[in-house]
Amino acid sequence: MGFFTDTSVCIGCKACEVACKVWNQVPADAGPTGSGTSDLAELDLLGMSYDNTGDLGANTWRHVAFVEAPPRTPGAGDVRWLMSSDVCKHCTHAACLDVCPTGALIRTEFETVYVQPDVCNGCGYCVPACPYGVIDVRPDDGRAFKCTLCYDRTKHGLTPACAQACPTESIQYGPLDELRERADRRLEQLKAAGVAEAQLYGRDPGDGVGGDGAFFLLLDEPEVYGLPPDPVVTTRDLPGMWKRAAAAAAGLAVAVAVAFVEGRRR
Amino acid sequence: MTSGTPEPADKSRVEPRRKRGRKRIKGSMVPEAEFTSYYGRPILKRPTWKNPDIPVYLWAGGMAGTSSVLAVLADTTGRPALRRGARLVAAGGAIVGTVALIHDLGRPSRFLNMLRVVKPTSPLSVGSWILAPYAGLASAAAASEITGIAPRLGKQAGWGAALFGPPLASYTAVLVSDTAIPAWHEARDELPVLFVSSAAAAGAGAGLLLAATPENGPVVRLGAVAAGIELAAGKALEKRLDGLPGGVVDAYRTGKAGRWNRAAHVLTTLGGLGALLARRSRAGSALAGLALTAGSLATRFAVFEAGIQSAATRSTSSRRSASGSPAASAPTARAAGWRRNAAPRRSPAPDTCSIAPPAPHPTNVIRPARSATSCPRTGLPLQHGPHHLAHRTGGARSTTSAKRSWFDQRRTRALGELEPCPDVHVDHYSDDLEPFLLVEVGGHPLVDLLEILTRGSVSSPGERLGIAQSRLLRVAEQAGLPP
Amino acid sequence: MSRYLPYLAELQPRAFCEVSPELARERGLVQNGWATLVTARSAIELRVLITERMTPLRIDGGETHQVGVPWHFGHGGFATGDSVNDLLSIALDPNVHIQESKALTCDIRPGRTPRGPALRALVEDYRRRAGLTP
Repeated sequence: MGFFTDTSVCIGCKACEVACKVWNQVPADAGPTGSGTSDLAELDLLGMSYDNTGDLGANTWRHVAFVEAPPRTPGAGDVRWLMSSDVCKHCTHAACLDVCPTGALIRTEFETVYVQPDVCNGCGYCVPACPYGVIDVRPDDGRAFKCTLCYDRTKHGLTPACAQACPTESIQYGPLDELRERADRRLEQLKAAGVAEAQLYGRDPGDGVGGDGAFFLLLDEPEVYGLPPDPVVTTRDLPGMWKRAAAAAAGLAVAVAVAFVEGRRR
Repeated sequence: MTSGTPEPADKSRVEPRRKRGRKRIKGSMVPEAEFTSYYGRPILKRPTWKNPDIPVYLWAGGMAGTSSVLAVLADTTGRPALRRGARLVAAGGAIVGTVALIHDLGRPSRFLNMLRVVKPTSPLSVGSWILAPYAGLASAAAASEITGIAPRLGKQAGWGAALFGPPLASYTAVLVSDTAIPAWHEARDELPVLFVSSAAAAGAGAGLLLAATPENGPVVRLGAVAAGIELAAGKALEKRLDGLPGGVVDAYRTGKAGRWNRAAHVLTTLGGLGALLARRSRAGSALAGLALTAGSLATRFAVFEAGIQSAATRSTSSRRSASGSPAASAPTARAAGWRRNAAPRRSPAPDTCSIAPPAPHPTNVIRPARSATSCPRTGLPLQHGPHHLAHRTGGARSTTSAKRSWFDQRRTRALGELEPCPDVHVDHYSDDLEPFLLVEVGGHPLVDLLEILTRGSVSSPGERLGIAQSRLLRVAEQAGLPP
Repeated sequence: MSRYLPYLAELQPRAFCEVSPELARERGLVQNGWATLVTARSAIELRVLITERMTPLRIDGGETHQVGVPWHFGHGGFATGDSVNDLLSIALDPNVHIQESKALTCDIRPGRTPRGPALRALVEDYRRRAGLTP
């Protein structure tokens, strides 16, 4: 199961953000994510169009981006006001899950990635491992948090809160095969209607993270929305790293030994 | 990349990147749109690992790992002073490292969760399984050394620690390079060598500091060689990163990481040379050892800070233009994220929406009512010129023309007419929905009727309307209409 | 009401006005800085959001700038800011008796709004220059 977020119909109402926070009891966040302030008197504008959330984080599991992009053809048409609801991608090969030393991050029966808050000890390894910069540690709590894809709801056959709240069905929840088909149809539709820049992001199971469990239809390049253009799961290179580390360890032992051997000779 | 002084080398790095520009508009007459990111925000999260906990752990673990090997070999070759010092350093490093790691946790009370699973995909899990037995064995060896109790067991514990020592010194390279942070991940081939040589230098430095002159032959050689390899590995690392797009190498050269790096170079060079030259002098050896150890610590801080800086600048800057000076125009909501290095987006003349031809975007055009020389309601003469209209966002975008559709009229009424008059007007029209509320069908008010009709299945007329609307939209979708 | 709900307040936490880059350049307004809106009745301070979504209008040959202001803020709750109602005369919607006028003329200038007697002086000055008061 997963999300397909069709940003071409997103109206930037931020209902997903609020629904997510209400259902999951995520605290409201003052200032940019990670600033560590929880005093709501310090709330402030970010000066980024209508986006005052900034990015995904421990206290923001859905984030609506507002991009004021120039028209496709300069001088022709209005500013393109792009909105997109970002979320944890629930990667098929999830770096956060791979590197978690405690097994707090697990893959659920819905093929989603879930942090068990009763196991997480806040080591923070998942934070730099995520190629999308999604998961973060809540400073006042110490543990890592991210979108659960409403595990508690999906277990009981309910739609995740954000998809339920989305008024335009920009956020769609369902089996990934079905969503991918739907996304392909939608992309064709948009291309036929002359939206040449429409593209699917994270749909391809052959990409660096094995395809996203939450993928997107974007109306511009991924960077414009703050998404990495070509994310790669860091553990893809892990076997090579282990080999080199083992060789280095052996080299250390040998070097120390050699230092002694020569010493005895003198 | 986004900060710091521009280097001449920048351009050579940037040029090939531009070619990867926007495929879509390549070859067209359109000036290439350059952008950096979403409002310049980094994509990656800043690592939450604490400073100095983690760099200190990297340093202490490496020093301890080397020291336990030194201790065993010193024991075998009959160097009791070196063995004693190395055993103590091994235990001290293990304890300091463990404490630093536990302190770094968000929930230190749950540190035992680290041993909950064995996960080869998680370097931290593997590292925990290395550190835990290592710390126990190294502490046992040191305890035996200090107290003199059970020297045989102490020796065996020392051998055990020596077995775990080299992995302890090298796994930390995997720990940092198994992340998405470019400065760490892209250095994955060089970091093990750098970390291990840094560990060897620190261990040898500690040995020089603690062991007496006649016994220090091995640590002198180890320190000098390790210092040389550490410097070479650092150079190789920078050379590799230098070839990468996105200015990854700047993370090691600028800011705090750059300062630590330079300090590490100086200290390691001094320590390595000092160890060779002053090996006969106790004080000279101690100073050289101190420099080597400090150099190792500086290296760890440099790598740690480079990762932090790299995470902060990783903002898909790979497409920044080489000549990209920010547009001299006023900053706009998108200016932080968007740069256009070619001609201004709009030609100056048709800067504003004009009225004379049918405007392409009627929502932005306000047509003055009738002759527009006097206010239609008050009859006051209108003043033209640069006066400012304030209106509620999303409201009052009316089109007042000779023939308006019913819908337009209704909309205009509801929102109030936008008039360039003094800001006094009273709207005598009723609200949009009121006529609906009053409509009667067969002597029965329509709204009540809707409620009666829909009772049972759907709770409210609003919901009923919503369902009808979504059905209509489905029809549109099936027909293949654009949204 | 929504100003008091943290989940809503954090989404749009401060009163702001939207201006075009042209107007910003003309008046020296900076992104996320303060601006003062002045009408014949009063002046309020808002944060500036410069956006190309706002375009100057060309009306009968003259250039007219627009300033967009959301109708939401006040002194209470978490999301605070000056109330736009201060700038208006009362024009109530006959159905629900809520302030109904949507558009008016104003001036915009950079910086915060003076308070107390200084505010009165500022508005008086505008009235006098506009010929509203002798």
